[in-house]
Amino acid sequence: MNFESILTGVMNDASWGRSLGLFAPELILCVSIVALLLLRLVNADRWLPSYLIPLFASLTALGIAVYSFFQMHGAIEGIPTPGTTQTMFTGLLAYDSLTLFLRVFLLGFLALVVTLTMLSGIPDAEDGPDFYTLLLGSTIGMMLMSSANHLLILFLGIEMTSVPSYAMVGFLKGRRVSSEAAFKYVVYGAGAAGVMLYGISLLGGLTGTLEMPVLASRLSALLGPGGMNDPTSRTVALAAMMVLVGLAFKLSVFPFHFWCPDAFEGAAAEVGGYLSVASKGAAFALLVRFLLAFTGGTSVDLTSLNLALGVGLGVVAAATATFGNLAAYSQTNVKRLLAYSTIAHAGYMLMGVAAMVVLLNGPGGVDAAAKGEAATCIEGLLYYLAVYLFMNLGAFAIVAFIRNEIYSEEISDYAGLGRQVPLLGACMMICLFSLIGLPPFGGFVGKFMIFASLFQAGKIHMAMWVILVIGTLNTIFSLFYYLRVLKVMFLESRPEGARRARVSFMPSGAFVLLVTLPLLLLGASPLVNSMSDAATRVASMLVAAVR
Amino acid sequence: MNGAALFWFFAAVTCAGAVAVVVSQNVVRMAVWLIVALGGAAGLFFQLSADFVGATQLLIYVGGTIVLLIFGVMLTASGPYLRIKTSPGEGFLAAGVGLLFVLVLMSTVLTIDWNAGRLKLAGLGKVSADAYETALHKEGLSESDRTLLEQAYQPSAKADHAAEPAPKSGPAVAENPEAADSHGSAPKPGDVHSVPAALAYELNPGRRLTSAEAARLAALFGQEKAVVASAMPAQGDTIRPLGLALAGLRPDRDLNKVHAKAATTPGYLLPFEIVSVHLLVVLIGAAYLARTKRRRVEAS
Amino acid sequence: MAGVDLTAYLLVGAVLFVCGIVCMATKRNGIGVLMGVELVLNGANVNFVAFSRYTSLGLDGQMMSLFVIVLAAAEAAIALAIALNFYNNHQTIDVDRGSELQG
Repeated sequence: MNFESILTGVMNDASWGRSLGLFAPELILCVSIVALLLLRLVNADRWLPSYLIPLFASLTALGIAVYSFFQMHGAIEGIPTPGTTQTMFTGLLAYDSLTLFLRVFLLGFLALVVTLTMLSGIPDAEDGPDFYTLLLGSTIGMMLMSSANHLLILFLGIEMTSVPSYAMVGFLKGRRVSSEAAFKYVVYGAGAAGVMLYGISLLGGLTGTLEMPVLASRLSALLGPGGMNDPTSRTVALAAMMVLVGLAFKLSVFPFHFWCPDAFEGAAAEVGGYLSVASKGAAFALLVRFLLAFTGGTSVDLTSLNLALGVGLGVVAAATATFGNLAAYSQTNVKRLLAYSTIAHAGYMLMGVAAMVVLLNGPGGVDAAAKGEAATCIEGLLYYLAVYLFMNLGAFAIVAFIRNEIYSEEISDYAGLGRQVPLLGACMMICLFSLIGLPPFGGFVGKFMIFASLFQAGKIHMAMWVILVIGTLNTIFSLFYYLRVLKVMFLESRPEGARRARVSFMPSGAFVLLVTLPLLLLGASPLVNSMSDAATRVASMLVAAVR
Repeated sequence: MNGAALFWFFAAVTCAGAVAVVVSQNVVRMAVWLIVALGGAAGLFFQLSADFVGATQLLIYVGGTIVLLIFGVMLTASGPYLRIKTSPGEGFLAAGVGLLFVLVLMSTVLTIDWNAGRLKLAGLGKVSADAYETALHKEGLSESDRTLLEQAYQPSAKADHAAEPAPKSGPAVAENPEAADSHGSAPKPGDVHSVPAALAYELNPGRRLTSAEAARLAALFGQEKAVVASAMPAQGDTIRPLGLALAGLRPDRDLNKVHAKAATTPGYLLPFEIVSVHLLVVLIGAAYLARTKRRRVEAS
Repeated sequence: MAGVDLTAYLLVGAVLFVCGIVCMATKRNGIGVLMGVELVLNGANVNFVAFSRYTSLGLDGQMMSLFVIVLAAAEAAIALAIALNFYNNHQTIDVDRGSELQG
């Protein structure tokens, strides 16, 4: 077989053309990376602002993603039918509702971040192409993560996401803190990826496959009776834990959170906002996929292993939320405070995932009722992610705009700003109230959904009720440190001689308003129903594929 | 040359190199020991008849990545003899961490009977009494085969088997392409459930199987293809299959399906292409970080 | 190859992994830590190739290890650039010496 015939074979294979069509949004981003490079080759970056290409690419890709999302959901009347999961590229990527949801999420977010960087001017004209190349590259990695259907893509996606983000954290290369943050991030990140890879190698060796949909059935065939007395069961548990370590690092979950505050403080606020939302979203999608790949099968031993895993995740989630909230108290830097708040929110979202695992591995097995309840967990997670996008991006954007005015990110320097720039102050208030989870805002609905699913999971394992209580207490704790920022901004007066902040309505104020308005819409408007409806459809299609 | 001796030589070199990396105090020496360890690992890859991976390891890892690391060491050396001081407390901590991991791995990965796992995945973890008796009373069965069959399998407990729902290992077998390919030979995997509940035999966890024994057992049950053919051949003819897999074709799995409409086994065309995008991004990122910025007046 | 089985290769992989972990935990030199990461990745690679030879993982294992080698090179490139950057700003490569950020 010579090269020509191989090429003909590939060309004639209709599945490739189909896959490439479905892969269009990612391809657009790839093309725009190359375009950014080529334009510099012909010196076109002198007269063409570098943000135009990523902005145009992300909006085009977003349009395609939104279209295919509604196409997939419009085709199905009422309750989605199972078996609609398709794969791309000979089974390497899953093309299902979660893929499309995360595509819309990531591309929409990318467009917003590009707009933010355009307004706040953090990569200057000279560095723009480099910055946007890294941004686009890591977004492609996140999209791969969220559609991974194969353990190679899982690792590849994580690497493609992480490696450009190390460089983005160190993007302000002249600053000491920035280079230090990037250095710590890359050292710990590479270590976590290595541990994860070792876990993948064990899983692959045990099951003899790297395809995630087959994992559960093969593990069911392998696991013998005897629980942890069986070395195979112990190895499966060890391998799953190693893979979860890598994911926990990306999610900044409790024992692996230490990089997060440093990285966020050292990085520019725009980069912090990007990492806190996008990499969380992709990593949660990947976590759900990985855990669903473990679920199913028919072995009692696998189910009990999964149940233990779910409860363990819940305990880790509770610890993460508690730790994040407690550590946020003593912070004096806004970005650092937001970093700890990010950790706490990762904890809340992880509670939803833990509830899903527990519900799917109850005594009744994977029946229709369990699937329905598990779907509500994913629904809560997706809703929370959607709200989290806006509230976190809003907060980081305000921090970026204020930094451009007063050259400081210390909370004490924010004194009186609420009255000096009322629009930003009000938007900050909305974002922080939503982060707390107060009723009229989107954060409340998301948190309520997750806590409701925790309550359901408690019927299967009592520990989930304890976690629910811890989660509720955490919400109350978190009230204080968020309010402290608002108190400084609104109740204290601006000291004499402090730098005056002037943020005009167009375009910065309008951008902040655009980002915070959805928080109200997702909290108290008919949009709550349509959003949760979309999330339900995504979740039930995803769960329906579990056997 | 004796293959086993060669293995132990490479294994010793690799492990010694790795331990020396941990023990050395000097970064340059660490880098040199790392070359030894990775070179030994390349030898192991050749030994495993993965020629292409071995060559790549030597070319890219030892020849590229380590050189990069050594460059890093040189460019960041603050004195002529950069030493890392390790306090005794840290030494004990390190030893403790290492010992803990060794114990964990000893009790998990290294105690598994991998050959039994292969049989289980091929649907031979639990065989029907019919299939077992047929194999045991096959004509011309040698004494050693009979002993092997008797030692490797034991009657499965009645309660355990009766509690299982009927389609228990059905899907697992059906999704196992190797097992599914092997029908036509005497006992099909599906036969497991057509027999009365109590009459089945399962692998004896107390008897560790060697590779040869596992292959022999599979052959006795008429499934040698399922277990043996899927592992890479010992003669190491891997370069062409690897290249084809990177082009998205898997002749090693879908033997006669190269021109079929839809491939069934993952081909690696997508990662192969997307990694190039990743490398481009990394190149640009590294170039940005390494070059000096045209400085304006630095604020901080 | 009498006496050499999958477990023997896994033992080598485990030794590489443990050495890499200990190296990451003890070395304060950033580049030393990165060398530990390379050891861990190689431990996983030895596993992959051994599984590819002895289990039904087949060619996928070798393919995985090839991609790991490429990704490790990319990671090392970025890590080195960041380390140089750190060194230019701090005149040290000691991970614990970074003082501005107190976790």
